Amino acid sequence: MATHYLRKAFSKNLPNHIKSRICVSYLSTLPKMQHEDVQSSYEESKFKLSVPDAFDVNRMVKIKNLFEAGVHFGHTEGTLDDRMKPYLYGTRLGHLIINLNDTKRLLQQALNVIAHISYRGGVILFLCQSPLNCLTVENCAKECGEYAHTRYWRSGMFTNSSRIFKSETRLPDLCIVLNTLSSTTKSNGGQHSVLSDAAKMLIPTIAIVDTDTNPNLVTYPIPGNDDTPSAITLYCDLFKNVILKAKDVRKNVLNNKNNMIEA
Amino acid sequence: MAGSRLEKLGTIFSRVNGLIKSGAMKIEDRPIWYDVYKAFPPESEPHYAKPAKSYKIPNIFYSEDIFRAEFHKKARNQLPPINLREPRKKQNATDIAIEMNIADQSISVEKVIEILNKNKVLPIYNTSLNKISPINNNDSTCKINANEINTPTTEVSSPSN
Repeated sequence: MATHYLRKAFSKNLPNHIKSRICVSYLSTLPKMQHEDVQSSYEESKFKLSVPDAFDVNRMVKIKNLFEAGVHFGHTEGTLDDRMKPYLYGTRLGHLIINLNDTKRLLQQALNVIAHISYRGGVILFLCQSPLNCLTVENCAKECGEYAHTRYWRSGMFTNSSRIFKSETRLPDLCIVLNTLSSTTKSNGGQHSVLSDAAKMLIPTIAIVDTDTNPNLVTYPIPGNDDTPSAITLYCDLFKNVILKAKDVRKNVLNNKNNMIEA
Repeated sequence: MAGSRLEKLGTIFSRVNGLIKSGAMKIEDRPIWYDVYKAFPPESEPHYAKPAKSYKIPNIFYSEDIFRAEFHKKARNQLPPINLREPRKKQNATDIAIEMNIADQSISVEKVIEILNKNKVLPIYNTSLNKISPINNNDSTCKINANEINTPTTEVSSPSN
């Protein structure tokens, strides 16, 4: 989001690692006035989107790993949100069990979307409000060169960003929320405010939704356990690997492009 | 940037589509995710007011559940802790006990616990030892206890005091 109108302002005096984040025009995918060499790259990215699994993410997710990490454990029956019912496998003595077939399918789709957005140079923001898993999430974001926010969510961080950060702010292109419910948020029934804020600012969200959360505002919901450290570690590893892979591909494409232009 | 901040109407995609159609957003200024969303739309659209469909949630039961309940009742104080930080790789004590039960249906819970104690799968804690099974401690005390139980209650209490 918000790359377009900042492109000119940002492209002048910036360090290289931030410059690379600004969406290069020839990586975007719809036709416009372009040079000869730019069009070939357009073909390339178009091809990537038409392939159902361009980054080979389907092999990364295995039901066995999900099961071993305890992704299928939901909350008790009394806390069930009716909108989570289609993702349930059943109830075991009052505790809900999530259907891992759904989790696998939706996780694969979400990973694919992450890869494509990362490949296009999008900025990704990890969010988590469970104190137990904060460090895991922050380290994951650090290792793949993205951003994390794991503290109290001040209202207006997205919607009033230029006032809060006291300058024009580049908002992320994708929010990955690892814990949608938290005790620190009182509004929206305890739901993380980033979900509504991101929807307001036209930013897609990918969220791990447990059985007691409302998945409606989440663009790509992934049903799964959002409390256990082993499950969070598994999600973080998957996200990290897929982002690093997409960045690698992007780097190669850009290098080839530069070489072609020089030659 | 132009854009409606009413997140409860439509989806992010429909709102960006509307901006592009009306000319408020140029097509080259569209967000990065727009093409990705177009190519891989989510299974169910992220509407705020999407109604919940009714599904029946089945109960999950297995035939070995009766044995599992009995085992947990008797060995509850001895079960080793579970590490939540790491994925479960090895079998835990309950898994082994249930496998023994499936292999031999007639095996009793006490027998399984005894075998697991012997194999050091279930650790023997000193505190639980005194409370749960003073009889199994060693054979001599076991006999004394058995004799005491047969005698009237007044006589049982006097030697122990």
